[in-house]
Amino acid sequence: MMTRYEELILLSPELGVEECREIVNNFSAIVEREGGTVLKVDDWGVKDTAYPVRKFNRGRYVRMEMNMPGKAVAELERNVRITDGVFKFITVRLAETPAAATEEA
Amino acid sequence: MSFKKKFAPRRKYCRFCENPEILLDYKHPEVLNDFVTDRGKIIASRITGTCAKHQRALTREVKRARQMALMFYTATHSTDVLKKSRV
Repeated sequence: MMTRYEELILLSPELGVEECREIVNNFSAIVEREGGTVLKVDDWGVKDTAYPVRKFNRGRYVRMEMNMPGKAVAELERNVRITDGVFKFITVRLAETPAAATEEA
Repeated sequence: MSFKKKFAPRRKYCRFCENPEILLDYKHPEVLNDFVTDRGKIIASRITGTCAKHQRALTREVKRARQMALMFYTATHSTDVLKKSRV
């Protein structure tokens, strides 16, 4: 059973573009290992945060959209938590029918 | 004593019912900022006229936006205020 999820990650502004890509690729690999597919990776670039996060006033936002089974969320979040350079993250289930989501993928 | 109304308040309506194109989404804080006070508190639907369904969604998205540092929890913690106080 596949569900459409979206993951927004706030990364440290000290990380370079390459390092960020590596982190995101790592997460993509985990999603695929758990039987899901990554549909979209959207890098918003370094943006100002509304309040200081770990003494930084800015951070890099990366949004990922994927289809994956619900069981994979725990595994993905576990890995996100132990990754260095990730300040904040949020996983949101997107309100779309799973059938339509798989068609697109 | 007459109870004549001095003015007729403009009819409130739910902006999200009126225009379904406006997406309630935590990723778009510029929409949510209209429904929050300068200090960051969510304005009651009684004031803004938002319907119950959309007010629930609005609250949820504001809280998500705060969590991801897209909106501030309180103005005293906001980056803008902190910048000014440092000068």
